[in-house]
Amino acid sequence: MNIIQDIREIYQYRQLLGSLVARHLKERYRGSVLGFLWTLMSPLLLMLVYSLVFSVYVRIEMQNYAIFLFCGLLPWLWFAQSLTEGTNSIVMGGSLVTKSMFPARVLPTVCVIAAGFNYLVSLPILAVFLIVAGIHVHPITWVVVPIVILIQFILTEGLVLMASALNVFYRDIQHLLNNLITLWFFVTPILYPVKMVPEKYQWILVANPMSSLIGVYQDVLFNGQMPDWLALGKVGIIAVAILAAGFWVFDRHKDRFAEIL
Amino acid sequence: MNVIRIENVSKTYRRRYQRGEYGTLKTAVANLFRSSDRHPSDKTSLMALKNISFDVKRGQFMGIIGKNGSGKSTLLKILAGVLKPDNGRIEVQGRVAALLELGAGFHPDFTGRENIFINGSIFGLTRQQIKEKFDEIVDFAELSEFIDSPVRTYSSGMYMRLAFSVATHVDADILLIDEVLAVGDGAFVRKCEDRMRKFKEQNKTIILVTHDMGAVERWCDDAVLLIDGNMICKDKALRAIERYVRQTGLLPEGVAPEDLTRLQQTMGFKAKPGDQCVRLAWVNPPLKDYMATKIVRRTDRYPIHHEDGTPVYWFNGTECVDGSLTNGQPYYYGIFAHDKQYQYLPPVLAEATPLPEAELIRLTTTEKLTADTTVSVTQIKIDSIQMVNGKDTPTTLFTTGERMNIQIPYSLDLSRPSKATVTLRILRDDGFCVYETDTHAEAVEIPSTATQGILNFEMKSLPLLSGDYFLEIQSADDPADIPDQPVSRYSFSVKSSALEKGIIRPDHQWKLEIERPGSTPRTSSSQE
Repeated sequence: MNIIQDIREIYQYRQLLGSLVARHLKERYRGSVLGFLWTLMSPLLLMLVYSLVFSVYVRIEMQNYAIFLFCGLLPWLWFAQSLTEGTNSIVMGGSLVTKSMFPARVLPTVCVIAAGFNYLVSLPILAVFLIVAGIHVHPITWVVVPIVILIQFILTEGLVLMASALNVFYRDIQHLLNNLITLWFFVTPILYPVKMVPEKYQWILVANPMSSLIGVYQDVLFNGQMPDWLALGKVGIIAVAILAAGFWVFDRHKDRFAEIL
Repeated sequence: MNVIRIENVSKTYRRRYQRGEYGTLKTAVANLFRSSDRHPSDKTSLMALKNISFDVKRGQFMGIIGKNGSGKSTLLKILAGVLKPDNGRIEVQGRVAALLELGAGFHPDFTGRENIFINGSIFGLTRQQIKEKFDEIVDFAELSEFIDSPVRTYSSGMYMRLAFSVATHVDADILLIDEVLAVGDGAFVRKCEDRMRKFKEQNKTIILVTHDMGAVERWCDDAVLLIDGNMICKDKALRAIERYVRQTGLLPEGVAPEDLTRLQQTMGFKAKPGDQCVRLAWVNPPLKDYMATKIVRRTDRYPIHHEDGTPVYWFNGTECVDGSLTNGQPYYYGIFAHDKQYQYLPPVLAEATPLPEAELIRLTTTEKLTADTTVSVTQIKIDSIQMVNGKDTPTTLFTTGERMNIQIPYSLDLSRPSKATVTLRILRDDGFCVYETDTHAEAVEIPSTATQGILNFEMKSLPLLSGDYFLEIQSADDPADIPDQPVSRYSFSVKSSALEKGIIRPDHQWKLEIERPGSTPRTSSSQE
């Protein structure tokens, strides 16, 4: 099947991916004093801002709201960062794409992996919060979190491949996407628990694969309960379908990247 | 065994992308309703390659030549897999390393070291393999001091060195090179040559896109000539070069005739022991034995070769376009050189001759030169001549019956005795000789006491009828040498107001004598 070949090709370039991801991470904080610490600082500050707004101004009655928020915010940041950076990656690829035999699909993948790396290193902070607050995570966490991470990676990769390829032809995509991500953030239950969503808008949660993924984090880490396996299974299938679609769109367009850029 | 096979490859660029306009959703939606726009028409597309087919064998060194915009780089990009052809098939067997453009494949913000690793992994090397070759790559590129600086701080020469070094160290089977060697300094280019020679010795394949015909001649076995996206020929390198030079015309870099002397001085050719001096003569009608290719620029070198393709002489010359002398036709000054090994060596013989475009060269004599002789073929040298009319104005347009004076400035080397002779010939535009004379035949002595002078050939009343003519001048130290001397050819036109036919207008008068019965004969005369 095509998708397996595509995955194999990415695997083939793992060394290249490795150097580019390292490069990408180093580049981001070059010249800053705190450097890599920003990877941890940014989500913390964001969490502070949102906690301030939603527990002081707009009051959401919930114990440990900041930690609840953090559970959903971290995976969301991985998703959002991958998408914004990844969409531009081909266009920004310059002569690597236009004048060398560079495997173009590596570029968006680098963005997803680099953002994922940031996510992984910020997980220990979440762990510290959970321990300090005395929240008992469900033992299934050790099994579920890797699965969720994998599914999120597949989903994000699929979307980024699609968006980055189309963005070469229609630069509107990147602008559209930036606004769409903001909207997407607010319709995903990150700042508020699922039960606060009015009945008539529940369909948005069903249609939004990110809400199921984030819901799983919140269930196992914050609520200490079993995840919604059915929802997770559905998202898994959707993610694979989106990845296949992403490869399909990308492969259809990649031959003309060099010509158009 | 063929390692590259190209069949009927075509490539069309859409012009809107060429102009750098990117599609937006708006235009995409609009185009949905305008189906005709979705097919590239002549107006919106540019056909860069048209049905190109050829094979490249393992171990072959192949050149791709053609003017700017003829599709060379597109073809190379297609071979490298960077661009995909619209039609046709491409088979490439083996790993390809490509130097497509200066800085291509390098990320400007990455350091040289990082780029080596990235490039190496693009070629499929593991980190370990790259580490093993790293020092060698850096050494070859002579960049050890700068290897940890971002490549955007590199000069173009450094870029090229790094790119060439990486591409030739990754164990590729096929090397594609696009004109990048032009930015290297002489020493590095020689290093590259060595490297490419080694590549070839290992039976690897190289494809080189270049404007440097000398490079093609020196290195390539075969060459593909592209003109406007069409493959004109794939032939032995020399033959392809010859076609190229014949078909593409000239680049606009000329030297005025008065610069000729300066040109000779700046080129300052000196003979070396063992070099052969070649005298060339232009002949009309053309002989088949030897052919001259057109000359493009002062620094360009083109081979003159025998019919079977073996290079015989280098022509190193410069174009001269001067409409006043040649009716707008370009003609050429050239310097010819010959060395027996057919290697790339400095030219040895300085003898400049205007070369009519379509004419061929006949080799007349060769003589051995002794050490350090500055080449001097004859004692008498003629600078560019001038034709003036009755008002002493230089022109190439005369009227029948007008005064025409041909001024032939010459310089004479007095170190050896000579019986300098100048031959003057007027030919009709089809080559028919109308008149020929020389100073010896008319007992005009060119005095061997003055080093310079002007020989005037004055016709008080030009006897030629309207038409285009050539003026040919030859000079020699001895009348017997005249046939071997190069011919300088100039063109001029004559207008005539009378309705006469033919070539010449003899000085004449009509006289009419009528005899009437019973009267004395009366004479009437008419003139003109």
